[in-house]
Amino acid sequence: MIEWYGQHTIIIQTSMIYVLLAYSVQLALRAGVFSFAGVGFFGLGGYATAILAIRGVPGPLAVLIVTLAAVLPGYLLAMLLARLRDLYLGMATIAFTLMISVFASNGGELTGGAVGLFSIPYWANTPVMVIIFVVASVLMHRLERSHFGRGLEALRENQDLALSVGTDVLKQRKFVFTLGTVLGALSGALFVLTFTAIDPETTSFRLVVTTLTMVILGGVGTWIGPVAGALIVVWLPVYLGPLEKWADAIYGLIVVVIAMYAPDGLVAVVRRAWKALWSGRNAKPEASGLSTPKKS
Amino acid sequence: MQQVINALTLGSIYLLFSLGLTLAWGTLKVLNLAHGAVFVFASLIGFLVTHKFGLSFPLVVGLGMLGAGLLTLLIDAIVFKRIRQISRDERQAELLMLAASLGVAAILASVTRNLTLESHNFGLTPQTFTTIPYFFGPIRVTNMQFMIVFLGVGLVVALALWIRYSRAGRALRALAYDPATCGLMGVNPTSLSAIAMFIAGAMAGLAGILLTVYLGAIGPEAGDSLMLKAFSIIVLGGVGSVWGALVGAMFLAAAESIVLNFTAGGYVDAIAFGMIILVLLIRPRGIIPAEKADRV
Repeated sequence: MIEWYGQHTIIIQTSMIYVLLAYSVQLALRAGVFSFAGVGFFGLGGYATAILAIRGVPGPLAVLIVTLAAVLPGYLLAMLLARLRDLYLGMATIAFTLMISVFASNGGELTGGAVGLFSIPYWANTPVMVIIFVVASVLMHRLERSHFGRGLEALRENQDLALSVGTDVLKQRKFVFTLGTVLGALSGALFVLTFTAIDPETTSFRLVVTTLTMVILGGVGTWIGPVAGALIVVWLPVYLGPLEKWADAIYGLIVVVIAMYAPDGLVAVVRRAWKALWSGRNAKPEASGLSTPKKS
Repeated sequence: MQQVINALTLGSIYLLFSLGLTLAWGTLKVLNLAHGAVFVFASLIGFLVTHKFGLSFPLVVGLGMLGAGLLTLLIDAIVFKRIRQISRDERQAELLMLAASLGVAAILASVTRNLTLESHNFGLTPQTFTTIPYFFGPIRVTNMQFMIVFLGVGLVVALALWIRYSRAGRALRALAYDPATCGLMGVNPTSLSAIAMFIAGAMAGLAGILLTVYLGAIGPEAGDSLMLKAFSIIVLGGVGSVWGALVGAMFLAAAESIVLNFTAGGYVDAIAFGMIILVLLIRPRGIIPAEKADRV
């Protein structure tokens, strides 16, 4: 066990970092906010942490500063964009993410240009990361089950109805958006201190794909989705072997297949299977949106 | 004046690329994030057929357009069609199609990288197309530039006329407005969306081949930065508006040329993003809004 842990420390840490990143997008999507800004903030937070750590700020302090400071740009971006709906917001936040990469390539000495920053002081403490992970997960769980969290779900299902029963829709959208950016920044900060390097490629289009793979794979509906998705995405390459150079294609294929055949994600599939198993043959077919074809 | 010619050429490439995207988004409500990958895929076809068989230029253009068009058609017929059928509501369909197209993009990018053997940039064989420069006083215009501008502007006019006056174009506009009634009126949404997607892909393919010849070679990531530019063009011009795309593409190309002229040029890609933010803040419907309201 100890030996196994020694061999896989970095993958275990990566899993937790990616779960946080996946949370940042899942949280937004669950409330019907098509925001991928968390991915951009992963890069922003990563670079900020790297810049601080290289200048001698201790790792834990850098993480704390960056995570807290992310609230401000996150909220500013939310004020700017949270009004946008659906595809517009998705497009604007993807553009924002690509922009971070442009600024990173042009940042000169501060960001190290196209080469990026490296030999950043290593600080990745598994117990601390586990604590962060657990706290974030409990928070996500509470957010899901609380009155407020259910309000967020209503936001996704029917914004007009939510508005009519007195929900401040715009305020909630901004909140979700900002929380997503903070989670993204936290994840990026931990990433940099684990891998001790970051370059503009880190926050490119590919990371958007990876993040969306995790979220769609697990399912948008619940916080367990991103956990399952991140675990699969992080651990799959370990067992891919010679197929590794096709890893991107495999992720892509997974996303397409899930989107086509299990739009609620693997967690929902497992849950349904579990229920079916327990209720036996007499079970009525479950009234899930999944199997009802859309009339148009 | 030379700068104007160059900007016009660049703008025509942008235009060819964004037309397909705006067409699919405006009429079928698909933000096809695989559009950039399809564009690169056409260049890949050009790269492969010229290096293996030494085909002539018109054939390469034809094959590239056909390949890119069929590819987009297949994505629509296999993936998007299924997603439209299983989705609970329009928002879920939009998210799933966004995710699936991102997955397709990842697959295509991976194929491109592996087929070009990681050689970073790839192009057609030099003998495929002979660039002939013409001089008008101090101004240099190549036959390629003539062709790009001619095709770009020519296709825009053709497409605008087609959408405005042809039976299929009228049906397409109706489909954007009210798909349900459209079905009652005997419009076949499946074949219509197939036509639209084929046109969208073929134009991206044309842009891909032309840009590859114009620049000599492109990299597998060329599609990503074009996506960012196309976003800003679509937002500036208004989703679904053909003329808007024309104005947006030329405006972006002009702005980029000016910035390139007066600065070191690293931030050229930032203009597109700045434009998105600015337009969304000041005039969210774009400068030439299409007839349809309720977009943002």
